[in-house]
Formats: sequence, C-alpha cells, structure tokens
Amino acid sequence: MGSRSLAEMVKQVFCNEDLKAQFVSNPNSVIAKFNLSRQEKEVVLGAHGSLGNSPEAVMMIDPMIMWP
Amino acid sequence: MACNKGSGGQAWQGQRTNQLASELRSVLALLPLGIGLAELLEQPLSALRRGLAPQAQHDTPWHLLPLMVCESVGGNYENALPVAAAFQLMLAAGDVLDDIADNDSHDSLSAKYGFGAAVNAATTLMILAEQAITRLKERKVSNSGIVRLIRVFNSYFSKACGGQHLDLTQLNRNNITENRYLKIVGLKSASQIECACHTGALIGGAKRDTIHAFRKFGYNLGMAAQITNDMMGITTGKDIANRKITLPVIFALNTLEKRRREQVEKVYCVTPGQNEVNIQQIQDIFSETGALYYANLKRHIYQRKALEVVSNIKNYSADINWGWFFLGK
Repeated sequence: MGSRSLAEMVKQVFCNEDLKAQFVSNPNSVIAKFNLSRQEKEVVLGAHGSLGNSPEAVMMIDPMIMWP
Repeated sequence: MACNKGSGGQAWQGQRTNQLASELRSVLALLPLGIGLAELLEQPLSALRRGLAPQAQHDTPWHLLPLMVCESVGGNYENALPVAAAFQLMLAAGDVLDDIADNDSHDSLSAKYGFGAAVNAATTLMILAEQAITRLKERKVSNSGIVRLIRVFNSYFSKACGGQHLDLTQLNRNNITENRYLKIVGLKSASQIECACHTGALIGGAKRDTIHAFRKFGYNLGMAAQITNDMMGITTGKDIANRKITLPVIFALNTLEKRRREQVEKVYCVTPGQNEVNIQQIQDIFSETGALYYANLKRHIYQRKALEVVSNIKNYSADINWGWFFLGK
C-alpha cells in the first residue's frame, strides 16, 4: 500500500499503450492490479478522463491555490 | 477571485485585508523614524501574495488564514490580526533571504540596496514578527497566552529552517527519493500553513482536538499547494530553467527508462551552466511519461485529506466552509 504502488501504476500505464487503453476504457480493471490505498483508488478514479499528458489536464490547476 | 466567505465575499476580504495592512503599519511604526527602514520593509511586504500587496484584496486570502480559523472556532478575528501580521513579516523575511541566495532578481532588496542592507532588512522583519505577537497584550491576551503563541510560532518556523537546511544540504540530485522530498516539503512549506491554522485556532480559544483538526487541515492544504507550485513550475518552464528538483522530476528520475532518464539527468544532474536546457523537451518528457499526472494525483490525495478534515471539523462546532475555497472546490 502507498505511493510506491501508485508510482508503479502510473509508470506502467504511461509506458504501455495497451495498458493505457485498458486504463482509459476500464480504469478499475487496471487499478485492481496494483496495491493502492482507498484514497489513492478514489483519486485515480476521480482524475480519470484526464491522463495528465495533455495541456488541458494541467490547465485544470487553479494557480490561485498555489502556495503563498 | 476573492474568497466567497459569508455573504460579503469581496467586501469581507477587503475589510480584513485593510485591517491587516493597518496592523502591519503599526508594527513598522515601532522602528526609529526618519531613517527609511520602515519604507524599505514595505517593499517585500507589498510583493505579490504578501499582506500589503494590492492583489491581497482579491487573491486567494492566504494572508487571512489565521483570522479565518480564529473566527471559525468562535473567536474574535481581530485578536488574530497580530498573529497574521507576524506571519506576513516572517514570510517577507524569507523572501528577502531567498532573493539573497538566488541572486537572480533585479527588483529584490539585495539587488537594489546591496546584500548588507538586505540581510539587515530580513533580520528586522523577523524581530518585528515577534514584536507583532507581543502586541496581543493590547488586546487583553494573557502573558502566558502570548508566550504560548510565540513558542508555537517559533517552533513552526524552526521546522521551516530545518526543511530549508535539508533542501540545501541533502537534496542531492543523484540521491533523491520521494519520501525525502515530501519530508522536506512538509517541514519547509506545509508547516507554515499548519502554523497559520494552529495559531488561529489557539487565539480563537479552540480546544485541543479542534486545534489538532485545524493543524491537519493546514498541513495537507500546504502539501497540496506546494505540489501545485511544482506542477506550475514545470508547465511554465521556470523550475526547469532553474533545474529545481520537484516532485515530477523525482518521479521521472526514479521511474523512466534509460534513454529518457538520461535526458532528464542531463538537465538536473549536472553542474548548473554546464549545458543549455531544452525546456520544451523536458516538458514533453514529463507530460508523456506521466510525471505531471503522478504529481497531480499526489496533489489530489493531499487535497482529499484536507477535505476530509473540513467535513469532520463540523463535529468540533467549527464553521470551516471557507476551507473548500482554498481547495479549489
């Protein structure tokens, strides 16, 4: 459990086109292969749809909540 | 985008920002008159995201956090003004010292007046921060209460100094782990937001468990905010140009396959100035390999932790609906 699994999942999803396609179509089936915590699973599913490899995903960041 | 707190919104933020500015100027007035030092110190206090900045009237009200927490726990927010002023003075001191270390800004005090004057200004700001807290005496806060606040305040800024020390001495480009990085961020950055929440709750007279909840909220909010900074540093290219080690960089260095990792190492694991940085290439690598996506997930995890506290905090009879605003909800 913990971020190591999360990092591993992100690494594999982004370097394996088949897994990436599976993740996009059925994220739960990919998440189940990794030992993610409850919070990590919820966050991954919540962010699903924006794989972060596009400027749009980054534009979703509100710069107003940046560190003071 | 002013905080939509209560029905007043912008007016609410404007009024309290003006009160904070007045408090800050009262503290600056403690300095000897007619020598220009107070005027000099107004410069870092008026920088973007600081209490005297014009944008403070409508930007995210980080500067009002102690007041908001104090009010949330049923305290008189005006009692938190000296604490909020102390907070701004310490942050401004940190800015001046950072500018001395970075030596890359034409507008900094060190660039305009020299390192000696800048060091003196930072020292004065820190001394005034403690002076600001002692002004609570005028608001009928007990001596023991003031001493407790100073102790809490200083303990957090000692933590921040510890984080800065680790950053400068241990954030070795060839030996970076995510856990170490997050520990440094927790000490250096998140501790300051935790401090604002802790002191706001203390001055508001909150009980121990309520204070603990606000501390947890502040810590997680601070972590989320710093990771947001990390992501913006990549998307704007600024942190890449400065070869700053942040969470997306650590993900990349620890997970990328050889060819791409070597491209990243060329930027981050060489002596600065040794080679030109292709910012677009590094941005592409961080996007295509999920480094930014991963940072975004981590940011959301901390946000979620903070949100859970917001939801639970109602159990402590405190109103923290404004917490959603800081979390971008």
